[in-house]
Amino acid sequence: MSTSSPRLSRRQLLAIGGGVASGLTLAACGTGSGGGGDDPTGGGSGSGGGGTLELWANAAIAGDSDSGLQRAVLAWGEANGVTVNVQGIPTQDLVPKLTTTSSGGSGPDVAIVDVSSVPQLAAAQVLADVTDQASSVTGDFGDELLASSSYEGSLFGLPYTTNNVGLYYNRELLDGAGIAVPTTWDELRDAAIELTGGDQYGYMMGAQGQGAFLFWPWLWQNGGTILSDDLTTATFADELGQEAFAFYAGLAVGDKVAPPEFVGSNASWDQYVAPFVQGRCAMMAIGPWGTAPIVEGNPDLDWAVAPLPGGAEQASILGGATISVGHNSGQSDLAWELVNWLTASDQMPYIQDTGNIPGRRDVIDSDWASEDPDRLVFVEQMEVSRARPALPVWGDIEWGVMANMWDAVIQGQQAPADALAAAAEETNQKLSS
Amino acid sequence: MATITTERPRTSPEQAAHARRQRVRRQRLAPILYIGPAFVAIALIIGYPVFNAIGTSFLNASLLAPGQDTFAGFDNFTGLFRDPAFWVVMGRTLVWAGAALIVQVGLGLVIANTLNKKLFARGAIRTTLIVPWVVPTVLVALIWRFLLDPVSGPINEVLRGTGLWENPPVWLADTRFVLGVLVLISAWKWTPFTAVILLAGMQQIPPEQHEAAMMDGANAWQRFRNVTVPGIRTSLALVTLTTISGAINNFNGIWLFTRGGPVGATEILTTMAYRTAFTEFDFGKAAAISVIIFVMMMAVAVVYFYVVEGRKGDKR
Repeated sequence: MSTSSPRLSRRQLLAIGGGVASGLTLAACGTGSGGGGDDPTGGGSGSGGGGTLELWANAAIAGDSDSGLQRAVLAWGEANGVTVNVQGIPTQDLVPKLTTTSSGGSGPDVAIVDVSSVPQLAAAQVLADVTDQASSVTGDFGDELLASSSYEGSLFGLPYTTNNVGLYYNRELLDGAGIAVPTTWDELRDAAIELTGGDQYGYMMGAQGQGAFLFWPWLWQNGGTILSDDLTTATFADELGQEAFAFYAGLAVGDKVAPPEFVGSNASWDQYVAPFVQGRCAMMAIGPWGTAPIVEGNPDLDWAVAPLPGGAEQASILGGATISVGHNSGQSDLAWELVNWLTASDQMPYIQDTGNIPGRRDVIDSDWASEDPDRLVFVEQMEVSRARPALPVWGDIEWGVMANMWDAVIQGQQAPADALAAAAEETNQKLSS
Repeated sequence: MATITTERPRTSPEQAAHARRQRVRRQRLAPILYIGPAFVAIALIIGYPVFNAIGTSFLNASLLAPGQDTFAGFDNFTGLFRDPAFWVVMGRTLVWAGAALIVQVGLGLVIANTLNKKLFARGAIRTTLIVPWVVPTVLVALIWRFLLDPVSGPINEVLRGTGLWENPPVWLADTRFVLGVLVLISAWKWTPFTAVILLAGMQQIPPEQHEAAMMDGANAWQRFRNVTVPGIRTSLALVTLTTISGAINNFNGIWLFTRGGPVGATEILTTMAYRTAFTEFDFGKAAAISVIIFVMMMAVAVVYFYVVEGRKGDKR
C-alpha cells in the first residue's frame, strides 16, 4: 500500500476523488495510443506506417475540425499513414489532466501547453526531454523562447506560438473624447477616468489569477522583479513592487475605472473581453488572443492595439505555447517527427492563419510580421517581454497565492499594501517547502 | 465424500445427517456464489481506490516529484487539523450541508404536501416539477450564469427595471451573497428529487387516517403534523441522508460557478481537496482531505442505519 505503487495509487485516487471530483474532467483518461508504434516513418516520406498519435492542446489551439492545427495534423497524418487524434481541453483543466494521466503512466503522445506551465510539467514527468532530438533545429528559434520551453537546462519542447500583452483600445471612444492613446501610466489613468461614466468604463481588469498575470508588466515597468535571481525569495512586495501595485490596484478599487462585474470574470478570457467587445469599455490589456472574440463578436467595433503604456521602463509579459512529446508516449520517435514537422518553416501558415505569432525567427523577421500594424505591436514588444519564473510551483503561486491576494483586494477585504506583503510571505513559504 | 459401496441397504442415520448437512451447506454457499461476482466487482471498483486513497493520505506525495513519495505518518492529518483555514472550510461545509437540508427538505415537504392533494392539472405540474432534477449540472450552471449575469442577466435587469435595487450585486462574485445564491441554485436542482420521494411516502399513507383525523376535528396543520409526518418518517430520513451526503459531495454545484472563490467564500472540503490536488499537486494532503470527507459520510450513514433501520426493527 505505502510506497510500493505510488503511480497506481494516484490514478485510483482520482476515482475516489469520486468523493472529490465526481464526473469532472478526469473521466477521459485513456489515451488509447494504438499499435504501430514500431514504425517511425520519416517526415513526409509517405511510407505509410499506420498507427495513432494522441495530441492534447487547450481548446483554443485545438479548435474545430477546420482549425489550423487540425488541418495541419490531418495533412501530416495522411502523408504518413498515421491517425492523429486532436483533443481540445479547457485551458484550466489541461495541466491537471496532463499531470494526473501521466502519473498513471499514460498521457498523450504530443502536447501543446502554455509556456508558464513548462517547468511544472517537466518536473512532473509529463513532457519528455527533447534536448538531443532538437539540437539540429534550435537555431530556428529565439533564445528567450527556447528558455521558456526549458527547465533546469534541458529543452522540454519547441516554441509553437509566442505572444505578449498589449493595450487594446476603442478608437471611437478615445477619439470621441479627444483623448490620445496613452503611453504612460499617468496618461492611462487620466484617460481611463475620463472615459468612465454612466454605463461606460475606461479600463478592463481581471479577477483571480488573471489579475496577477496582468500585474507583472506593471511590476517590471516600475523596475521591480517577481523573485530574487536565485528564485528563492519573493521580491514583488519591495518598495518598487508596492508602488506599482498601489497604482494598479488603485485603478480597480480607488478610481473604479473597470466595469464592476470584472470581479466575477473568473479564469475565462471570454468574460474579460466581453465589455470591450460590447463597446462598453474603452481599453483593455490582453494578448493577440483578444482579437478573435472582437472580430467574431462585434466586427463593426473600431479598435486598434498599442504598446502597453510604460512606467520607468517598457515591459510586457511573455506568453505562448510550447509543443512537446509526452513523457509516457510509446511512440516518442513518431511523436517527435510530428512536433518537428509542425514547427518547420513550411507549416507556419497553419499557425499564422489563426492570428497567433509562430515562435520561429524566420516568421518573426518576415514581412508578414510587419504588414499588420496590430501584429507589429506584439512583434516589437517581444524585445521587452519577460518570462515568469521557471519554477514547478509557479502555477500555485500565480493561480493560488496571487489570485487569492488579488481577489481579497478587489473584494475590499484587504488593503493592497497589506495583501501584497502577505502574499510575498506566503510565496516565500511555497518556495522553501 | 459419500463413498458409494456396492451393497447399500438403507440409509443409516449417520448418512442421513450427513446429507442434511451437505444440503444446508449448499444452501448457505449458494447466496455467497450469487453475490460473489458483484461483491468482487464492487470491491475492486470502490474498495481498492478507497484503500489506495487512505494509503496515499499517509504519504508525502507530490505530482511535481513523481516517484519520490515518502511515508508521512499522520503529518497530512495533523497539518490540516492545526491549520485554521481547514476549520473554516470544515465549518462552511457544515453550513452548506445544513442550509441544503433546510431549504431542500423544507421546500420538498411543502411541494409534496401540495401535490398530494386534489389539484388542477396535478399530473402536468408533477412532470414539470421534475425537470430541474434531470437537467445536467453543467447545463444548470449555464442557465444560472445567464440568469445571474450582472449586466445582461434577466434577474438584475428586473431588479433595476422595477427600481427595487438600483445597483444590484454581481451575485456570483459578491462574498456577501455568493454562498446563499449557490445554496438556492443547488436547491433548484435537487428539491424536485426530495419532493418526489416525500410525495411517494405520503401516498403510502392510507386515506382513512386523514379522514379519521378530520372526523376528530384536526385542522390541516394538525393533520400534516400528526398524520403525514409520522407516516413519511422513513422517506424523510432517506431524503435527509441523501441531502446531507449529496451536499457534502456537491463539487460541481460549486466548482462550475465559482471554483470555491471569490477569496474562498464558497470553498468546501471537496473543492479544497481538488484544489490541493490539482493546483498545489499535494496528493498526500488532498487524499487526507478525501479521507476526512469519507469518514464524515460514514458517520452520516451510520446515523441513518441506527435511526431508520433500528426503529423499523423495534416495531416488528
